[in-house]
Amino acid sequence: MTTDQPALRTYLIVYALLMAGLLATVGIAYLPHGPWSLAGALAIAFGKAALVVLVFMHVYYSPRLTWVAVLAGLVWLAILFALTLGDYVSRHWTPTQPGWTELAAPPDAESFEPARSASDLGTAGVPHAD
Amino acid sequence: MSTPAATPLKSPIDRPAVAHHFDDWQQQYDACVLGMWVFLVTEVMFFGGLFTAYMVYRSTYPHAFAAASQSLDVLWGTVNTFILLTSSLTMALGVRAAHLGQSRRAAQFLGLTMLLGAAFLGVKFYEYAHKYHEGLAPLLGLPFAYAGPDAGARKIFLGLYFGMTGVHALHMIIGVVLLGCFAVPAWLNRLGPGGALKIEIAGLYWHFVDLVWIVLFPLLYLIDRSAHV
Repeated sequence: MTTDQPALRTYLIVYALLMAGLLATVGIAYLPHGPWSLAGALAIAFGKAALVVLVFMHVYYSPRLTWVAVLAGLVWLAILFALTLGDYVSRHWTPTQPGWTELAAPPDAESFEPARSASDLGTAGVPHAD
Repeated sequence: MSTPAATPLKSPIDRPAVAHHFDDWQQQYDACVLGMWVFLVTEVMFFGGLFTAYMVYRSTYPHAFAAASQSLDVLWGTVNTFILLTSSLTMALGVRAAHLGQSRRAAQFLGLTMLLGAAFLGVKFYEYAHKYHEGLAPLLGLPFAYAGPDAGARKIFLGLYFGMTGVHALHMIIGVVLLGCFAVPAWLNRLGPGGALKIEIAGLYWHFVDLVWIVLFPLLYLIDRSAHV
């Protein structure tokens, strides 16, 4: 909006909430919560970020199209995190084929030369191809 | 250009010149804000790549990350978060002043924001220097002081620390220069018609840099503090 500005009060309240969030995030880091401390820290960070985006960055007062752009960013970020984490978490769920580990880490790493083309691979590229 | 000489205007200051491909000022304003947001989303994805690297390595080496995190100073991190959040408030007030047509007031708030940004960078470079003197800067082939069993994973944590805060600091430097480019014309009342939009867009950039820090601070400084007190 070009004309309707949020009241000064609104900005000061958001600032007070951000400060409370900062104190809370430092405070809970020193409490023994185990795995919950990461979740708590991220939840507070997300809340602070939402306040900045909605009020300081005026998204709350913006047309729906701006909301779509912002949410699209969040969705793509979620895809990036979810698929990457899904890959790393599930890697050891399935057994490794025999020979794969030898390929990944050649016994003599110093003299190892990566194959430049498919023909370079020859039989060396096919593990246990007797 | 968009206003032919024949069009009678009360005063060129009264209304912004609308570019020829927009129907009116409101449409141009919304389009500019949307364009900035699209750019900021690409920035989110850029930092997203770094956060992904952090996520993968932290999930692989949780204990080494927690231990290496203790080498960062929570006090300085908290002070810097305070400085940056305050700079976001002054930025928001500057944008508000610009929208209300108070050009000088806007310039003052922009100046204050730049000052806080510079203070943040000062603390940041003090921290970098401290890490360098401790031998905990895994950069440019410098020797790494820590040589425990998980030295490699700690090196990765400090590498991510330097990489992520370094790219963030670069954004801060760009932000301070950017605000300077608008603070001076605002002080001289030379932003011209529709000048508030320029301040609004610069403000979006500044707040985005603040957002990145809001997430970086707990992820880098506050891992498992309770277990190491």
